[in-house]
Amino acid sequence: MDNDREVVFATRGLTRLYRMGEVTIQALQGVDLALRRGELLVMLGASGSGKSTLLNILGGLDSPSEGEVHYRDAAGREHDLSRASQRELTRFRRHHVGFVFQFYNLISSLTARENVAIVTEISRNPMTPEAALALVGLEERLDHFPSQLSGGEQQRVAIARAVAKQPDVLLCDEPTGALDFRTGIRVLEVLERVNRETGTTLAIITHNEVIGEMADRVVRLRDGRVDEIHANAQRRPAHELRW
Amino acid sequence: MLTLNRKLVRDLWRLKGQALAIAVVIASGVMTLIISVTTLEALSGSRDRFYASHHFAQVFVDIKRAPRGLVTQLQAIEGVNLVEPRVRAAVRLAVPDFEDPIRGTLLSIPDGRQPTLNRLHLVAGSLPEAGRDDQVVVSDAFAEAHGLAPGDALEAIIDGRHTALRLAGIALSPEFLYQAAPTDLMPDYRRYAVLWMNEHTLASAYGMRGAFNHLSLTLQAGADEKRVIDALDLVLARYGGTGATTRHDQQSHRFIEEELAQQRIQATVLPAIFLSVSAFLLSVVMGRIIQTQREPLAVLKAFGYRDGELARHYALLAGAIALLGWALGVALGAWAASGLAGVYRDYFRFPEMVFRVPPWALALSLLVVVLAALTGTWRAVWRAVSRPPAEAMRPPAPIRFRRTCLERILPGTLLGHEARIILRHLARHPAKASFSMAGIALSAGLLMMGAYQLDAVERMIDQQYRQVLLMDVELTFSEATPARAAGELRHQPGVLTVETWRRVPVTLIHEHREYRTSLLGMVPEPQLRQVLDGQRRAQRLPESGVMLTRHLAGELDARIGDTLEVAIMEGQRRRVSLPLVALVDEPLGVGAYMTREQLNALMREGPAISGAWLLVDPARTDALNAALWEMPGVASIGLLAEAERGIRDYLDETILLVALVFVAIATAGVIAASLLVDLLVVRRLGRLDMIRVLKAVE
Repeated sequence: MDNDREVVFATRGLTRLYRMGEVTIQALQGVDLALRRGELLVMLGASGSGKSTLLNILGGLDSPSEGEVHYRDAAGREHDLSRASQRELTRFRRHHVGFVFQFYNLISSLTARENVAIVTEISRNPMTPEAALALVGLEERLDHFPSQLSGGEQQRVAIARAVAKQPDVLLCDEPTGALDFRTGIRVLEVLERVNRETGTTLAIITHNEVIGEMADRVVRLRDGRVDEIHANAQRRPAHELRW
Repeated sequence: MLTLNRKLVRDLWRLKGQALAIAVVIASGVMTLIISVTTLEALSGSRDRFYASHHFAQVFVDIKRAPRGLVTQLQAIEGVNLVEPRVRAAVRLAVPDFEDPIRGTLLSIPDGRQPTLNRLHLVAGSLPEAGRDDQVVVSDAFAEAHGLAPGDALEAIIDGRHTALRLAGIALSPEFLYQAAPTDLMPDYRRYAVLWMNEHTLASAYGMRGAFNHLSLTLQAGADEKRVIDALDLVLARYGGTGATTRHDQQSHRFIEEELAQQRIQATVLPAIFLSVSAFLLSVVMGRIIQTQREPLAVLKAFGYRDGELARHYALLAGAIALLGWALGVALGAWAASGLAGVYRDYFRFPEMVFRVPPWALALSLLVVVLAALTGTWRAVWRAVSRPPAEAMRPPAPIRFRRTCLERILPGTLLGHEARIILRHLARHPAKASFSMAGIALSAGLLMMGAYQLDAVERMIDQQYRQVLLMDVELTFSEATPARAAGELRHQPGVLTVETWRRVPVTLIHEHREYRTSLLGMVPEPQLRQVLDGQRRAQRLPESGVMLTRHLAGELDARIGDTLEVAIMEGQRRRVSLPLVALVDEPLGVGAYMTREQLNALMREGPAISGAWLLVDPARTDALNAALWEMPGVASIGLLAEAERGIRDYLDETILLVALVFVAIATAGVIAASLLVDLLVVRRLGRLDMIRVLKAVE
């Protein structure tokens, strides 16, 4: 991985506390991390290690309790996400980030095409929903509702939805967590292709160690802290992965 | 936003059951509003137009007899605009092939032309030609009831003489929009008629040439009504004036006013109840719907949808439901109002009565519904959209519950898990729970009220005709008649019992309150016309003093022992003081009662009577009717069974509509209740599932 690449995300001393009912949970405890433009980063960690919380903060879905997050867009403008208002965070999500969630989170009353269109309609420079679905190999399933699609197909629709607006960054939260091995590989191949062909910065969080092999760098999280950062000398193609 | 709108339509379709339920509740509110305002506007608009175009008078006064020359003097009273002197008389009629006696009011019109005031609206034929003695115009309701047409013959007893009449025309009058006989509650078009004939003929028949016995007039703009009335009474007292009255005391006008007042209340109270229940239901159900939308909402937020865009999306969802309810309400309201139009056309005789849903009512109801929908929804929507998306994607934190007071008081074994869950839920949202209970109570109350009203009316009629009015026939004489006339009545065919009565128009005054009514003088222990106490026992009339119905005493704010001023409006007009000695419990009427002897003494007259009540042998009714027809002094013959039938017919006609409205209300109430119960059950089941899970884990 080229260390000279421009830093897209930089976090310093990132902390996040949650109150769940009467219990307080410290999800992040001082995370320092940099994410570079065009890289494929895999964040590994067990349940409760804070990886989803970190991804949410990077994507502007959540705000840190303490610490800083800075984002530099493709035009070179700097955004301080830790001090951004809800309105600014919404704008950031609208124009810069795409999300893929573990349970796809498709809108069940909309078809595959409409699930993508609902995002492209508010984007500045989107692909057509058809092109985005073709990118994930679903050009034949445009008018199917989520209930008519398999889990893998649903996740590919979710990826199409995330990439259709051509975001600078694609953040994926356990994208293969709900899928079988074969379907999981197919989804990873799509993500790899998006990263390679569009140059989109890609962060994947997973608890599956094997997936780390396809990354430029692997970040290990434990108890809300960065435990280790490891750069792969060579990215392994997704289709070669086995678990 | 196209796709978001598509989502909206599909969400609506998915929620069709709940959406329809809320829409029905909203529709009930809109429907009651539309029915009330449409009826209100149709009635008041038609009335006002008819009054204005046909110069309905503002002040009315009955006089014993006054010379026509007096008109100039009356005209000169400050504030008086137009004056119309008339001859007015009670008349009895006979129509071919109709056996029952018919009562009528005969009014004079200037020979061959329209009067200045209270002009007639001719439906068919023409006014009587000048110089024709036999031509009359009859009220259209009467003509319709008997299928009469211009040219048909009628027979009348005018001042004791049989007179053959011919129908010149059929007309409507602003004076008789509601056309009931002066002493009747309900119109009976077959047995009561209003007729108009040339003044020359009528005055000659009643010995009123160059004189009049009724006056109507209009006032100049800004005139002081009270001062005009005082001045009129002063001038007319010596001519036997019974006291001028305003439209307020005019029978037809008063009836319409009461109907309008009732509609006004209906137009505010019922829609207000329904729309606030709808707003509450919308808030509860939308809250629940939005809870189920937690995930798509979070996703849309994650992809950059703004709070405002999402709030608008869900507001549109609520708005669409509200709009559906509104449209349903307008359609049902317009349909019910057109049904009501039929009933009103029968009872209020307007030349035209346009039932049209006023655009302002549509706009107002739409505004109210949209406001109710938004008020009910904004909190749930705003709470949902303002939640950070990451938080919205996480499972909700366990809700904070507490042990309730009841659990602390009662031993632990007494309350099961389910009871505890329900109690804790209720205690968590005491306001919501109270409002739910209040809403259900209100629905139940409305249902009870509907059923109660119908039963109450039924009971009142039963009481009036089974316990109070026990006579079969009520005869009214043209004028006060010596009591010995009762002897002649006793000998008529089929007459079993005769009881005489004297009625005198009076104004009762107590402190600053006054009420125009009549004093009814009866035998001390009346058998055919009972006077009941609170326990429905027949009372004996007191030797001295006056008895009032409880309602009338309330109107006058008078109690037993108080002294009432009585202004006598007949014969020698004077004021006397009488003690209020007892109260009467009667379901209908504002009567004042005393013994006939006492009333005769008050009037400084001998044993005079105004009429008689008869108990008759039903087998000989026809012979009796024929005999009564021949009696010259009888102004009217009232059959009690027919009067009762008239009321019951009216109720039967309106009851279907009333029933429909209450069915709608009941449906709405049941829906409201079931939605709330559903919410409780869903929550309860949710908790029970959790218990099952816990048990399985154990």
